[in-house]
Amino acid sequence: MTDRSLDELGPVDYLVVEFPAGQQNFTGEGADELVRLHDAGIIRLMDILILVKDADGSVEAMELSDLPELGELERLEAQLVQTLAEDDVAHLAAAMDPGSVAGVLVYENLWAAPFASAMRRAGGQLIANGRIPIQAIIAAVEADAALEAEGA
Amino acid sequence: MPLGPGRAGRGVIGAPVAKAAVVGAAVRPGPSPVAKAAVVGAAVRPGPSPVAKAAVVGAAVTPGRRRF
Repeated sequence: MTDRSLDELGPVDYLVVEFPAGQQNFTGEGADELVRLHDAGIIRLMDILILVKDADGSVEAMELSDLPELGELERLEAQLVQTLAEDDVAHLAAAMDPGSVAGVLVYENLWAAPFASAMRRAGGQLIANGRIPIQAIIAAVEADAALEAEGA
Repeated sequence: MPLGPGRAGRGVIGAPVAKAAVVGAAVRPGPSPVAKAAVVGAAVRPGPSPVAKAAVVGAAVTPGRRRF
């Protein structure tokens, strides 16, 4: 953690990005984009784990520092705070298919921190949040169009 | 390769993560079950045309549009 108070902490999210067997094309582009988001102050990268799920379902977890080449991520590795515990590995890996590799990211949404603090000072409390899949938006628009066509 | 001692202690995830999060989000109870059922069906099918769909998404976020 930094010297910022908890009240100033932005929302913390996690992502599990799976790379299925046979579809793993690691060029470093993703790492570069991640570093760019961190450097731009949009997010603060808090933790990274790499999970490997074998064909038999067993899971191996690796630290970023276990990778042979970190590229630009090496600069951020020392700033990670190990938010995830070993207990979390099985929970996170539950979503993975056998034979896949996944990157787990934990990050603070720095862009949202000032607004969230302002809402708390105003007495507000977060009661729901979530992500609307783009596919759901597309499907909803298409469903609306179909209904309109039926009514026309 | 075992994780380091810094990974000991209480976890923060709390429960197994489900891959079907996209479907789960779409089937939650809501004001328009008929439309949502259609959403689920479409959301799990491969899309025919990313370019056309990108245009559709643009339309969906046009200011002033409200779906109730």
